[in-house]
Amino acid sequence: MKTYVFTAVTIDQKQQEAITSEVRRIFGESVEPVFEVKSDLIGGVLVRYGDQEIDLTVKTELEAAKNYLSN
Amino acid sequence: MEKLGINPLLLVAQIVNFGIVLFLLKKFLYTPVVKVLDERKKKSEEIDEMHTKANDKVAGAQKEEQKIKKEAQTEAETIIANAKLQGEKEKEEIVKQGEKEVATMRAKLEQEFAREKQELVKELKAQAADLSVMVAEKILKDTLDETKQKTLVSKAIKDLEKVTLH
Repeated sequence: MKTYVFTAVTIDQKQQEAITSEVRRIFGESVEPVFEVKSDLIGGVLVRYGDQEIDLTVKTELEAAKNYLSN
Repeated sequence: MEKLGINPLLLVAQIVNFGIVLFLLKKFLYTPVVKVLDERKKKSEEIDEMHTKANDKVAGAQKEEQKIKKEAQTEAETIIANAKLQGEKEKEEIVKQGEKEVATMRAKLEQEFAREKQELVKELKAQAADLSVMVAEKILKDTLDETKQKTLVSKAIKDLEKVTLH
């Protein structure tokens, strides 16, 4: 299954390896993540494995803050 | 008697004449006159009696009229008093009903006002939150340089280390 790792900017090799290591620990050793840039995430990391997501982005934190402020 | 100058024959004749005159007077004058007088007296008494009866009737009628007037007045006063009482009662009911409607309307308006206020506050909060996040996004996009982006990714990696699949 294809696994994507989205970041707001291009990240260096060391961080890519660290992320790959964690993704494999979580989803399996055979996983080969594809790194892509999505600037609207503002910062942080989004991992998508099939229909599962691990969202650690600044964008989502801001959305959570917005929801908290709205209620 | 002749010595006294009285003619007995003439005396007898005069007595007879007097008797005849007396008889005639009584038969043709006195008796009819008395009869007429009696009739007139009787008629007068009848008229007096009728007059008295008429007066009694008039007095009775006046008394009855007064009684009817009094009863009518009492009845009219009772009707007016009842109408007034009924009017007051209806007035009170109208006022009471009006107060009830005003209270209901006020409560409804207060509820409506509270609801609208709540919606407005909610909307304002949402707008404020939108605006805040929009401003924050803009500031972050403008201020996040390469180093800070790297720091954010490092933090994300640390958070990723805590993730496990159940």
